[in-house]
Amino acid sequence: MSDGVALPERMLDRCNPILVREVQQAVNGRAFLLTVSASICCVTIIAMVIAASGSASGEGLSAFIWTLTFFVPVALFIVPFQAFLSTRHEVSGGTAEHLLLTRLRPGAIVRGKLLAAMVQYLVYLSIFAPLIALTFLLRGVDVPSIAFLLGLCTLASLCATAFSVLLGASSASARARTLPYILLAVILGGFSLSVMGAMQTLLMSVGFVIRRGEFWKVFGALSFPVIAMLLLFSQGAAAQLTHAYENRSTPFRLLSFAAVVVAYIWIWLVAPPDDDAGPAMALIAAAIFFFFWLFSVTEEEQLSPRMKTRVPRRSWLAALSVPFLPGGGRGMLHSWMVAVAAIGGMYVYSDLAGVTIDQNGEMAAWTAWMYVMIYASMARLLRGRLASGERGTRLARVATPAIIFLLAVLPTVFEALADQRVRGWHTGQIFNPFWTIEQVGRSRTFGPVLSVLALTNMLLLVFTAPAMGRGIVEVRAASRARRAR
Amino acid sequence: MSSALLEVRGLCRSYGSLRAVDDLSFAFEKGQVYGFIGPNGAGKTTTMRMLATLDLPDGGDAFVDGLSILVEPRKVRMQVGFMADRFVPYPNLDVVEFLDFFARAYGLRGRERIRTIESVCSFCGLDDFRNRPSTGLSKGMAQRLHLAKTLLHDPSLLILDEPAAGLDPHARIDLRHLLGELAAAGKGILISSHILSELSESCDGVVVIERGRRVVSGALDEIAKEVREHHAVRVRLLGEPDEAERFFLTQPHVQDIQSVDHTIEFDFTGDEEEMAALLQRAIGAGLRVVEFRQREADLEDIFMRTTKGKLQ
Repeated sequence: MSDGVALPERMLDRCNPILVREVQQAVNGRAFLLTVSASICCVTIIAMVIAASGSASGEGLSAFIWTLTFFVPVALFIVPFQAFLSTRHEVSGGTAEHLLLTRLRPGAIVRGKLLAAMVQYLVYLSIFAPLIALTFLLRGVDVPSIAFLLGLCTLASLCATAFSVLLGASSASARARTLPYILLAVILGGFSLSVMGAMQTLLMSVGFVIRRGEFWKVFGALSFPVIAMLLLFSQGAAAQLTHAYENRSTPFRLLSFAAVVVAYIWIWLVAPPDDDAGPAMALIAAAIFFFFWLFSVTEEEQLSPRMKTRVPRRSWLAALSVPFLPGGGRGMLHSWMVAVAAIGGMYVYSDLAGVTIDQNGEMAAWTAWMYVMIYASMARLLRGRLASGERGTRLARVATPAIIFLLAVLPTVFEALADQRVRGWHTGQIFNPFWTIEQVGRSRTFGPVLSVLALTNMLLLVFTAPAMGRGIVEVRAASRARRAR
Repeated sequence: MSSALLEVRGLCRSYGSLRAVDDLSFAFEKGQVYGFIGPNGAGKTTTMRMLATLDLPDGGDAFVDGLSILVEPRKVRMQVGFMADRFVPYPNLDVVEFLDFFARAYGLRGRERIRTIESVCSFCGLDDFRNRPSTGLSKGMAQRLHLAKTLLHDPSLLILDEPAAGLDPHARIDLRHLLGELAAAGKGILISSHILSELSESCDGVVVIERGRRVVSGALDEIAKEVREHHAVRVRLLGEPDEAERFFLTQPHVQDIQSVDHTIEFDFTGDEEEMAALLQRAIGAGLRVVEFRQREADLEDIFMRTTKGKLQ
């Protein structure tokens, strides 16, 4: 039904409101018009320089590099920074809270910002597009290379925007006035500069990859981590915009578990079969999972009154949801589940890919995940000793990495001070996960060390089991209460 | 099932060891304006944020038109219009664009959205300011824009946190009229303010809280009766006030005499018969009485008598 409203209006009605507003603001504001004008000037200057230098063979390559040199800062610095400014304004001014009272969910707010950034990106790209077409006509660069680089640039711009939104949503404190601006400028500036610096090498490599017929494989390999980071930053930003007393935890728990499973499927489907691939993936997963377990196991133990009303009614569904619901005890259960998925995935992958797992890599993966569980258990026990409330949670999240760092560094420092030198790895370094994993990955004589780590894990499991049990009991009780209502 | 528009039942909220809201209960119906008053730090904003579903109670619950803020926050949000004490509009948007954005965010589409924006603009007196930048409005107009934004989704309950703060007398009077019209349209309004004279003119009832606990709540006239055990009497005279003061000092049931120019105020502990007799004696004694009236307890009296001004 037309409802007497013009077609463009009806189409806008279907768009994300944040997208519509951000575009209106950009069109009304000066910053966007200035950037567009500057981009047009750059394009004109580059075109004039190309015209003046004649049309030597291969001129297209250097012209393309020049074009991207001007386009990359716009895509990777200006577009994300605009998203940061807008988010920070909303959060520090309290408008973000007003938005939460509407039908918009935090995820929709972040999606709207990413879409608005993409609209800006496309406007800038359309300004540079004639020049890019010209570089192709001048030869020296082919269409797949252009598509490859622009595709990666688009993903990188989205990822940088998601990171900027996350920073904007996390830095609303009045105390942190200028620091986030400086931090973001340094990060985005450094990122843009490094991409600009690597442009020529990247173009050469892309040409090589295309000639070998591995375009999609390499594009997939490069885009997978960028997409994973994009999802992570977006989810982080949505969690920051979600009120502290709502459920911020479940999406991260689902994301981290799914990421481990998807990563194994991905290497099985995309990468050539390799003895090291499974252990390498398990090690990468252990390193990245640090941020997830640190937040999940240090949460308050109990469900909030509102979360209790959202526990699934069906008992089997409630039981399945236990590791994914907020709460430190349930965070421990989730960590164990991810650990099992990561180690189990290594064996399933090797079976499916028909490879024999490299033994040193296998031991290193086991060691890494035992460390994950030891430190996660310690963090849970520490959180249990601290007072309830946001302060205790924050303290546990700061203290845990500090403890890991001290346990890793202090033995080496003492040794250096006492003996004026650092000997090789010895038992005193057992709580240094980085060095121990590296040593285990090289040698096969670390059986006793692994036994000590396994025993420590079992001991800590005894101490953390009550918290996990309480986590299960609470969910069952909440589910029963919902059924009874 | 209760017919109350807002029913608060034993609401509690703690921040660490601080009990910001402690077992708070009250209720009111559609079309009523309720003042929510208390000293600074009494827990007013925390309560209002919980009612708007922006914060979570540790205990208790509240129901907006029968919907629990705990169980059905999304439905409650569609029933509640929350006007926070802080309002920062978007830069590079004019008044209509600002309202258009929030109308879209509330899910209004097409002709309905356009109609709603026109109607709230007109109701809040923003017609002449439609194309003004939303960041370039005076405090009074910004509050009107804030109110307009709050009304976009036609909420049945309005929660207004200090809406009159920083407004000049004209803007306050305008706001009072707007609230009166909204109440007449059947909306319930919970409003907090430190400007008690403003509240007393626009409120049907009041909830007074201190240190997170309800001190008193109910219809204004009923509370006024409860709060004042004595009659406050005000007498205006012609002639010498000293002589009149001496006279009243000797009269039974009269205490706490205060005299300013030609006006004498005192507390009278007797009943209405005895008050009539006192007036007769005063005239008989030759006092030239111009006015003799019993003063009603106002919101300021209620507030001062029920709270101790303790902070937490």
